[in-house]
Amino acid sequence: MGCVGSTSRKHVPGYEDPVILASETAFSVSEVEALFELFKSISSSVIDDGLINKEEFQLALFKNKRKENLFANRIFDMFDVKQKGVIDFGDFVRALNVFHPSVSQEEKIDFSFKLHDLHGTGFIERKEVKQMLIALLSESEMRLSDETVELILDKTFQEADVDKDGKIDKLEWHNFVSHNPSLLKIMTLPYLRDITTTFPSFVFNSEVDDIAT
Amino acid sequence: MQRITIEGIKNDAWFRRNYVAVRHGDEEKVDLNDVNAVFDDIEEQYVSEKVEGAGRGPLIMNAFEMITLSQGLNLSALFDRRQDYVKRQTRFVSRYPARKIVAAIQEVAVTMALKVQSRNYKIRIEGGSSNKMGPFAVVIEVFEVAPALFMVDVRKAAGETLEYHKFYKTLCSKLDHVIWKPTEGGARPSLTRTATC
Repeated sequence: MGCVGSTSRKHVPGYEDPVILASETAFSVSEVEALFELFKSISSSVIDDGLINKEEFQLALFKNKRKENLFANRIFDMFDVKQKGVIDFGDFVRALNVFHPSVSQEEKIDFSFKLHDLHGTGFIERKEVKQMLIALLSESEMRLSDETVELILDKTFQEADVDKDGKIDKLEWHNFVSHNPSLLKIMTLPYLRDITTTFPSFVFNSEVDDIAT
Repeated sequence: MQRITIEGIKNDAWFRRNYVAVRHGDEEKVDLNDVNAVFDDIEEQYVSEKVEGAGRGPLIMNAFEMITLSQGLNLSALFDRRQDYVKRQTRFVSRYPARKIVAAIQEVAVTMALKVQSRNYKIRIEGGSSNKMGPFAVVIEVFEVAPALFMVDVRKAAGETLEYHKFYKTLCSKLDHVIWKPTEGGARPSLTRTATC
């Protein structure tokens, strides 16, 4: 009787069949199952309800559930596609999929564009970049004068804002990223390749015959 | 008849049969191949090589490159099963000339009896278990963020985070004169800064 996991899968909100999730993503069925182990651990850390709330996300990212961070909020919002205020397992897998090493650059560039488009206007505006830059400086405990921040923005926009309209559109972002590939560094998680070894899913919890994967 | 020496024992056929020498380096958790790989990997993907040729100046970071440094965008932390809050990346700003920053850092490492290697504006510092600190490796890179304003990014490449933090604290205290700390003031930032900041 000790073989069965404490969280019955069918009762986890948003739990989806690993076979379906695997067919829609770059993950194999065993990898989806391994992600479920990770998901279980994060989603039960503050409230054991099978969902990841903001505090649990912050806890997983910063090991501090009260740490507020502009960028973590953006990532959270992008995982929470249906804007429920919580991330379910399907959201979790589909969002992490974009970070898989084998997913196209195109998808990663799109995701990063939306990430930086703080107000969802379809453009990355200068004031949004300023807000993000100031957030980074504050997080790093680095202080710069407003003049210096403006200088950095000037230089950045000089390169990125080709039509000089004060904002960066999708095409300009694509061009900018191709000239600055390091910007996509955050969009790939090599750990996703080894997920089955980092988070082993016990064989007797698996709903799928391993041969089928 | 003299007592056999250690050398004599080691050379004796009896001793050598099935003997596998103990390798003292094995306890060290730092695999320098990994450190090297990280080092090279960072160079390739971290900031793209732009106009600067070798010896001309540090790489220039734009606003978005700075933004990607945020811990909130480092999702690899989700896979970290440790429970302690750790800052693996730390950085500060300096108005010292870039070359002088590099030289100052190298000097600090030498006084701490650590191994230093540098290439242009990137420095790799390693400590073995022979030091008071455990084995660890750190990569420090100097970037230009604005004219005559440089950001020094310090990140742990290998070893225990505790050792890394000890190192960073010591580094900062010895580099106190190099680190730029804008003047504190009760007034709003735009009023206390001069145009040259």
